[in-house]
Amino acid sequence: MREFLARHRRVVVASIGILLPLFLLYVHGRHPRKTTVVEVGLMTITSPAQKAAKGLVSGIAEIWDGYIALVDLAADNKALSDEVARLQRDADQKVVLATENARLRAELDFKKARRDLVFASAHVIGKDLSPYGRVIRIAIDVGSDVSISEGMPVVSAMGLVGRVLRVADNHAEVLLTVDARSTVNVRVLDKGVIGTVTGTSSPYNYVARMSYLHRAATLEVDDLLVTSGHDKLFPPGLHVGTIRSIEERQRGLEYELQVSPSVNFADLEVVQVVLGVVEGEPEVPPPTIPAQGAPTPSPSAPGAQSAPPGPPARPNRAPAPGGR
Amino acid sequence: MRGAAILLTGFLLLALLSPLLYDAGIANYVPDVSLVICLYIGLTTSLEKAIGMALVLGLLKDGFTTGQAVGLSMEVSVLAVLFAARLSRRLVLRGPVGSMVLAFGASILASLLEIVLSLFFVRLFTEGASGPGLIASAMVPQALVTAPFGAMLFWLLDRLDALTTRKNESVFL
Repeated sequence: MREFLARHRRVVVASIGILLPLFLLYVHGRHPRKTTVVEVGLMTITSPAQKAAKGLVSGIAEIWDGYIALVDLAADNKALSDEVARLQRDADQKVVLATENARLRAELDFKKARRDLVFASAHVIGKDLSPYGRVIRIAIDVGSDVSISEGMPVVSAMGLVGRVLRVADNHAEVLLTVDARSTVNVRVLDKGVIGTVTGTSSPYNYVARMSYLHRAATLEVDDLLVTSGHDKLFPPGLHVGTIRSIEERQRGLEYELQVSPSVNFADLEVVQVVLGVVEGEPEVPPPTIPAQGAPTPSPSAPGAQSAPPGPPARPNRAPAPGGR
Repeated sequence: MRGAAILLTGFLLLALLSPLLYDAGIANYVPDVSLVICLYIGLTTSLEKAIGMALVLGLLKDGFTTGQAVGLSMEVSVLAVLFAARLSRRLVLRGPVGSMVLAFGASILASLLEIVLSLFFVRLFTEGASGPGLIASAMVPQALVTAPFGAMLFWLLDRLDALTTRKNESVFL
């Protein structure tokens, strides 16, 4: 036997070399089957080696990518910085557009709510500022070309802005409610008090005042003032402002209200000029958007509807050509 | 000593090759390193030792090749050794071109052999994505990838032999 093996050693080894893999292949090619001892042994040997090799190659790749192959890093950095700047600009633009959209939507809602009024929309094209940064007068981009005339009320979704002071062909100046030359007949919403709000032209802040003789017990800070319509200049129901403070004058003979206007004049971009009144349309309290720093009166405030309607206001002196 | 060095080299190359090629983005066509090593040992080693080393190398390759039935690479490796041993009686390889041509041809034959053996022994071979079509489609690209490795590995193993047997010059590059 030993002599046979020695003589045919090559053939025997070659036969084993061919048959052994075929046997393993036969065993491992079956399906279904369990994991064999050979496979477990192979996994035991190869898994740590593969893990180590993977770690080695990844480490080398990281070193290469992170410390050596940095040729394009400056260009990439610049491209990414530009991309960030562009995205930031886009984001800023979106915020601006969202704000503008909200403002225009509020204006639209306001116009829908006040179907009794005929409006001409206008952009604010100029603002005169006091030395302390307060808006004291605004200019708008409509004039006599759309039948704007002096004295017409100017409003926004936030409330009454003022009235037209001077008119040119295609622009006009607006006298704000906080100007000392401005007087607006108002009623305190739901409190039955009527008075006149006069501007102060204060260069420091937006404030108007209202004087009356008898202090109403129910009058409180933050009460809403709306136009009464009694002056035949401003249509009724427009928000004018809120009571900021109530001060005693002449030992209680007279009281003076400090009024914060509903409109943030610094934030005005679009306004509506009231050209006229539509006959037969009921007065509807306007929806409002919250002004910065101003309270948010509800459009459906009970006082606005329960207040007795004044005589139909006709602020315009020119025929109403329709909204713009 | 020489055999252990060659086996260790084969083991390291098999372990390193997959992650290396994966990171390089050419993992689809992995050069058949164990086949080239088997050709080298078939050409340069006695048949008994060569078959033993081929069995070990094939087994290692089966271990590193996920999803392949154990025994397939062993069989291919042993047959590659027998083919190279037979060839060594009639052929003397000098320079890189010969080893590249040999590696290319052996890779084609090995792929065909894998298809035949799998059809006979592997039950699920004709099902799923690992069928004959996959091996057949990758046959030529893999042979083309293996060919340059033939020249490099023949030179590397020759230099390894020089370290272990004090041989001075390589005839493969």
